[in-house]
Amino acid sequence: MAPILGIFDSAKSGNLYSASYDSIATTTLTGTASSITFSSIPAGYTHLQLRSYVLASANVNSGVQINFNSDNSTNYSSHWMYGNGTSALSGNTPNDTIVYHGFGLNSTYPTICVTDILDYKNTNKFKTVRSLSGHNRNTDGFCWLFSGNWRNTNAISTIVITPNSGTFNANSSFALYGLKVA
Amino acid sequence: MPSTYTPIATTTLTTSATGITFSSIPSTYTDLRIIVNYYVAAGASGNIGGIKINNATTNYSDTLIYADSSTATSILDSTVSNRGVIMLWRMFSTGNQYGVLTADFPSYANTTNFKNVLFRVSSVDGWVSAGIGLYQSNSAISTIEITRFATEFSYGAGTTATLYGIKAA
Repeated sequence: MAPILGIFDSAKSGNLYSASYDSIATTTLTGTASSITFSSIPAGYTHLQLRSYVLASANVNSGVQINFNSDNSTNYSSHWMYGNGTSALSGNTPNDTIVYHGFGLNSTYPTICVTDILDYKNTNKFKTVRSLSGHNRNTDGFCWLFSGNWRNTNAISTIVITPNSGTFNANSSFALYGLKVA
Repeated sequence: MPSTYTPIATTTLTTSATGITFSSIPSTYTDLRIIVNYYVAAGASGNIGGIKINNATTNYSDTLIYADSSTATSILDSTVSNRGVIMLWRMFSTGNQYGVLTADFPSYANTTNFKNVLFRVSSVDGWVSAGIGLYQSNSAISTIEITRFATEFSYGAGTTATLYGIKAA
């Protein structure tokens, strides 16, 4: 079987089997918000998964971003590849202040973001994330795969999600889940 | 913490079929996920699968990124293309090797905004793809069909498909 991305797919090949998948917290917006914060994240899980349905005030090709533990320094980096309907492209951002949850902001066409945050409470290693995101506006759109790194050994206790431009709009939904490995 | 990753329905094909349908999907979850362990023999039109929502044949668009062993590229289908489905890239199986389709349907029950499916396909012959599909309807999703675009296409016996509900706190 070819390699498969995703913790739940990994269960099919015998890796990273998830014995539980618990809802930790959810925010569904009834108005606009400049950011979404999940704080006091419990340490009782092995991995985290962040799933978001994003509508935004700005209609721009720009990021849905994640920051950990209020660290705004340049301790983050990302690599990505994406398809824009014509070509497959790739790139990276070293020494950034965020990692990517997704890409594409629009008030009508949702952006879908799923990010796995692996071994988030381990205090002996830097933290790694991976994201799959899509944003289709009928006549154009993107599908993105990201990997990201936060060069800090602290356990992740706070996640802040921000749009690179404008605000999140009503009906956006952000849900944090905890996964335990048997 | 509430545990939430609940199997809603499972289908295992005993004979080949052009699609697998989950209907009367309850609206009590936040997201849906479908995992298909598929067998699709090589066909004449590139083994292009598809997804239909609420039995609609219009209002779909999609953006895919896909690669074989040497080249990565991307395609987009708009409502102008009118493919009749959300397109899935090549789905091949051979021998006892089955491929995997994983499809997420976030906020599927809301009646205010358009619906999306975020998917990945691993194909035994070496193709790998991911994509985003858009269904331009505000209706809640109650029926999902994992189906085909190419008419030669069918899902073989042994194909399994499971629909899961993911519920946020």
